[in-house]
Amino acid sequence: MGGVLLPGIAGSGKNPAYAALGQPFGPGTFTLPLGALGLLFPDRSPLYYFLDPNTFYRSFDLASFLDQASAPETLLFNPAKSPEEVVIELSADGIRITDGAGNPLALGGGAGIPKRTGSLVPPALFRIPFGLGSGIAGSVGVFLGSDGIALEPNAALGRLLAGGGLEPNQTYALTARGSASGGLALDFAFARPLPLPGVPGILYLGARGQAFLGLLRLDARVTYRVTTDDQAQPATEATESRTFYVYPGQGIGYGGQVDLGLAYAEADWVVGLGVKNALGFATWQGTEEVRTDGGSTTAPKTETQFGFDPAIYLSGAGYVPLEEGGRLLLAADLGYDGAIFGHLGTEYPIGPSRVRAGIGYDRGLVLGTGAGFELGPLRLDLALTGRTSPWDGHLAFGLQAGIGF
Amino acid sequence: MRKTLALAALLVALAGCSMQTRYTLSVDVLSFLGDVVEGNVPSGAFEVYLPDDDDGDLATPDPDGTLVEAGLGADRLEAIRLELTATIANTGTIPLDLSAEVYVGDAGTNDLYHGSGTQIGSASLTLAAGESGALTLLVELKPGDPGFDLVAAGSFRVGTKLQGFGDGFSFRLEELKLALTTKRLGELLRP
Repeated sequence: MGGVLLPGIAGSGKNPAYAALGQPFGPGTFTLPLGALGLLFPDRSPLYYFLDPNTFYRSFDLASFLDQASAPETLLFNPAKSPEEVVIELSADGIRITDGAGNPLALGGGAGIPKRTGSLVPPALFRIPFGLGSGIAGSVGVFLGSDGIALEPNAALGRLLAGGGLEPNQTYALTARGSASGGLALDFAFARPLPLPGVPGILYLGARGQAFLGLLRLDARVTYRVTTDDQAQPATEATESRTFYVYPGQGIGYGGQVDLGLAYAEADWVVGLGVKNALGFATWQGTEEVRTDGGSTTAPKTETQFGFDPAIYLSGAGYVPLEEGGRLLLAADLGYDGAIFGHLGTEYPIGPSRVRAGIGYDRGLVLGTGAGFELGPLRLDLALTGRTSPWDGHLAFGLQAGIGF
Repeated sequence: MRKTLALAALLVALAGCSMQTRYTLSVDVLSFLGDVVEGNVPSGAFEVYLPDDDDGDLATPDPDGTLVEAGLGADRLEAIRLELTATIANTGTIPLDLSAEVYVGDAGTNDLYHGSGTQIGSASLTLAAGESGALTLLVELKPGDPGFDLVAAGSFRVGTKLQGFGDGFSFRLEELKLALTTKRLGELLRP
């Protein structure tokens, strides 16, 4: 349904109160990381550089890689493509970059996998759940993944890309940064209904505490700067890199966060508010290496973050009866996870199957249409999605899949 | 120039690069010359060499053209394109017949037009008395064409010979561009 957060157990990662709701809008499914399949294609996989260099040098496309890497749940059919031709026009007045037909290249403010708030560590690769009774559930898992990869021009370079000329005494900078971490996570979640006298519905409260032990971390940032002189001619250049790393035997990380949730349910509808990382603390003790054109320094460093750096999810769903019989499911969400997002979706049952459609905005337009099937004990959700790349505005279509038992 | 190219390389990185992408470096040579390139040629049969960058006086021929240093190497390039446009005004009372030929030669040449240069393009123009027109020269070189390796190597002399007969004319260079198109990125990077 276009990525909308549906109240129910499957949405309890974003609102802990939803764990006590059951499945008011049908059983959910777990989304498969089909994007990882996409990263096996030679046009999007830097791995071929090691596996089959000939294929790499024939096929690799940086724009396709960045587009697919930023959509881990979607196998993209038509990822963004780099231009076939790039024309660099040099004149005494400056630089202009165009495609072969003389049009400025359509570029946005940055590329990569966005950093989202709400979680101190990447999502778990797998978890082993256990129950403790009294509405308390726990899980232990292993996490390993990226916390964000980006290629960011500064504002001046952005103007230059958009077709502006070189300005005097201006610094043009490009920053590439990436970070990844790995370790173990343990969480305890609690959710229970709280009947209120005189109110027809039920209020649900939920909370989750998560602790992690970090074993691996790499946080790298490289900035290249060119500064122009009074005559708007490039005069000086500088490169600076900063790398922070932790690996077993060389530092460690630990921390924890608290997520809170509320939901209110009546017979045919539910609304909820989830706040992830309402309070969080993380510390990493590692080594920092700074390199500039003048030399490099290496020193131990501790990076600590503490406080309120949340992701907020406001969501609701309900059944609307139709005149000709049957009922339509409508769902919507609105939230913030470093940027504001929102989705709207609908689902209609046809026999044992369901058809769905949705639209949303999450760092670009998101479209989706799909269907859910029941194949014996297995439930399968398939969706065709469209999403705009925040990088160049390219609309890429893809396939998402979820399974449930 | 090197830092300008470094900045251009930054923009290219942002433009996205695919192993299928070709890059074209198009240099507006005229904008770097600074001065307006124009002049007058007197009545009669003429043979003048442009640019005349030794003294600017067409009466004393400058047969060594101008030195260009902008190259990427023959093994990296797929095409070279030179575009030249000049406005010619026939200031005389009889028709003007004019032909233009572009020559390139190695950096040490002191006469492009009599043996040691290579002709890479030509154009001609006829103008009635009092008429003005545009002389356009478009040269495209591919690997194997005469002059390709020399231009690709990036240190060469280039010049234009104008010859014909008329009753005096004026000229003014409007556009002079050199564009170098690389092979696909994958072919450039493959070890």
